[in-house]
Amino acid sequence: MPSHGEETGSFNEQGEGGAGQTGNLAIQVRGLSFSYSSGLEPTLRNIDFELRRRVFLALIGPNGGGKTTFLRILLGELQPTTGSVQVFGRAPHDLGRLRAKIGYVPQKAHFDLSFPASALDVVLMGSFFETGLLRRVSGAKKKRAKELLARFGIADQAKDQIGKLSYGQQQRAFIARALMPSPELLILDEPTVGIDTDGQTLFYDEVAMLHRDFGITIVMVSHDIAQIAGHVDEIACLFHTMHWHSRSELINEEVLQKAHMCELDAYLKEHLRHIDEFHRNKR
Amino acid sequence: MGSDISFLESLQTFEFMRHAFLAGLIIGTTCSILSVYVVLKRLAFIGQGISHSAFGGVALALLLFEDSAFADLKVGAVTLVFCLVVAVLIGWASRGRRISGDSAIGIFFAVSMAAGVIFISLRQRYTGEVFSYLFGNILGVSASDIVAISVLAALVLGVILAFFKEIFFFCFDERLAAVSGLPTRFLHYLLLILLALTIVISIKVVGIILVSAFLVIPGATAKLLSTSLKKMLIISVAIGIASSLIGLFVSYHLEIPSGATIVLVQFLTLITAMLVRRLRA
Repeated sequence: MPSHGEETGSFNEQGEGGAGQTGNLAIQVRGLSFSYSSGLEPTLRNIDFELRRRVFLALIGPNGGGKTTFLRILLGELQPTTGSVQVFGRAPHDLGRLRAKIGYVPQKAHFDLSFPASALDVVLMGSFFETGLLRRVSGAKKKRAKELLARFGIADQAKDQIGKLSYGQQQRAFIARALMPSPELLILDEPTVGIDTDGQTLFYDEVAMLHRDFGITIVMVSHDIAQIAGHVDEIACLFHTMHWHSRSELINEEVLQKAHMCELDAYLKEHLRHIDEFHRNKR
Repeated sequence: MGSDISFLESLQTFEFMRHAFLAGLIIGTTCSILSVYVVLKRLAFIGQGISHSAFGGVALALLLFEDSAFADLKVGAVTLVFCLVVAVLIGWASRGRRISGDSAIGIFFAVSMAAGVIFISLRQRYTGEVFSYLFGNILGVSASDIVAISVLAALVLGVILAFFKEIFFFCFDERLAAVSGLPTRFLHYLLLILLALTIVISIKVVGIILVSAFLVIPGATAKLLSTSLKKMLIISVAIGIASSLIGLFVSYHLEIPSGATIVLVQFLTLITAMLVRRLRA
């Protein structure tokens, strides 16, 4: 099945990218397919994808469509079955020092709530790779960690045990951790799951501000189309294959209505089925 | 029950008591520091697997070298190599997909013990000293044992200090640490090797069976009372040292086995910490 991006236009085809312009690309994916096991249906099929630097991309799609798998490939945790993936011009599992350019915020960090680490400790963890083995974290980095905590409104909780913070505060600490090495690419995997609506709005505002103020490239998996619509530059829909949309194309009244009624998954599946049919008829 | 001279007098009078005192301090400190990471990274079962597997190494070493020159040194070296190999194998198996980690540990544990029993039976002689490897004999620690224990303990503590921040992150969230660029595979094996080294130096003092308690109880107790790693390490070491000395003192006066007494003292501190925590809540 062809990628919808081939017809609707990816960033590459909208005027940027191409072999001679890889320096302007944060992510470049060519013919990516991935299967967890040789006998299983591929989770990802024939994906071509390019993302310029300084773009805020929302990655949406029904559950089980491969969004998290795609992020894990970008992070170098999984290797493509076929095709190639490059982040800043290098394979994700072989980024070397470039690894510090990538910040990652998981949907849910898997840690013991009684783990003896403060919010400040967690933020400082973001500097360990840059600091290097056998070296102590510098005073300047500790100062930066405190500034980040203040930026996200949890300076007063700096010394509190991370597990004692509210879920929203924990997520803010984790995004501060991801920002410690001043990343150029921030990958967020449904970062607001479990946060109340007010907290989500605050969170998205903060992420948008990071994008605006520091020009960070952002890839964010989200189900909250209604919430993120005003912030993102582009939207890609992933359901085994990648389907590109300009923001206005997908974010219409019907989608917002469905999103509020929690019928988005069904809507997207139907939407993608129509796209596939359209391509089949065209062929 | 009781002794004719006091505990303090015995320390002044008897060299073996001074060795026991020193061994208690060193093992108490090393095990309690490592126990913090065993508890945080949930390595208790792996620790038990390595310590019980050590029986195979001890039995093999006794079979091969018991009557040769420098027998103690050779037995120690063989046990060390055996434990390191088992630690790496358990580490490898626990990360694999074909056999689950706990099954792999259970298999290594049982197979090493079985091999140990066969090695012991092949010796065809009195096997009483094997008992001291199973349950420890702190009063039998020699000056050369103290030197070997000190060197290996310094190595373990030095490595923990060198990789302090990386091990901390690794224990907190291994996946996040890997995605952030830390060498998590290396840290996984490093922790297991440190665990194996600590187990080897503790066997003569507390024994194969009781060393698991030294590697779990101080850390588990400290975790109940701590909100920071620094505090947890300090409390754990305090428990490790205090329980070793109190256990030695009590066992001296009641004339009961020292290693087992120390473990019971540690257990009492755990119960006390649980009560304190409940009262605080």
